[in-house]
Amino acid sequence: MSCSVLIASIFTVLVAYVYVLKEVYVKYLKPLEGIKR
Amino acid sequence: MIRFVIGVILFTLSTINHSSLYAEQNSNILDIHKFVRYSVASVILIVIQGVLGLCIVLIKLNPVYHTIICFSIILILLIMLNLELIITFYKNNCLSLRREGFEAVIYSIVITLLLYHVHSIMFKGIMIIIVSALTVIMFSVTVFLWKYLKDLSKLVDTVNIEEPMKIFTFASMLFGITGILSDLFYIKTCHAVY
Repeated sequence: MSCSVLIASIFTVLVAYVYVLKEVYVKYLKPLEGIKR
Repeated sequence: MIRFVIGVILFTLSTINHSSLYAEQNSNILDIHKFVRYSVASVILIVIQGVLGLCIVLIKLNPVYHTIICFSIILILLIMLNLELIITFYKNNCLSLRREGFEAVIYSIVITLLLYHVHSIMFKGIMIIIVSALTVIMFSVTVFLWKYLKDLSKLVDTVNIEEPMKIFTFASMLFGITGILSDLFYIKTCHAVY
């Protein structure tokens, strides 16, 4: 029982990470790509 | 018993944080460095927990290390992160209990009840595979974030982590519930054995 809740919590943390990655990509990596080109 | 106590503390702290995050505030309060550092530490601990779980099968290690000690350390780490967040909110006068926090509690209870029914269908092997796959993805994402951490401090326009932090606090609420449930079910199985 606790294992399935653990899966849910790890999955939620992963969603949070993806959000942070998206922010980092928009604010930092995307402008960098433009400069490189 | 220790996981139950730590789980309750984590659940309460993260609920307060979750509701405080909905208050009108300056998004610059939240620091991405702290978030990434704590997440790196927690991911490494989760990987260690997985390795310890494998050691139970392979070299017949005492399961206490996997189920109680390592898991409690993860929960304590999350408590530290939440405490730091609460202190930051307190210093900036935006600590508040809101409707959204109460809603998050209801959502977490609904998810737990839903998983209670799903759990009977799923096999333990499938669960271990899902957990390990998620851990590997989390580890790779964190390494990617760690790579750019130094450069992120030089940015003029700071990275806004208000939305991810809301999700992260919700995740720590679920972690707290995991701690509570694991102790409750452990007691239940002990009674069943005797």
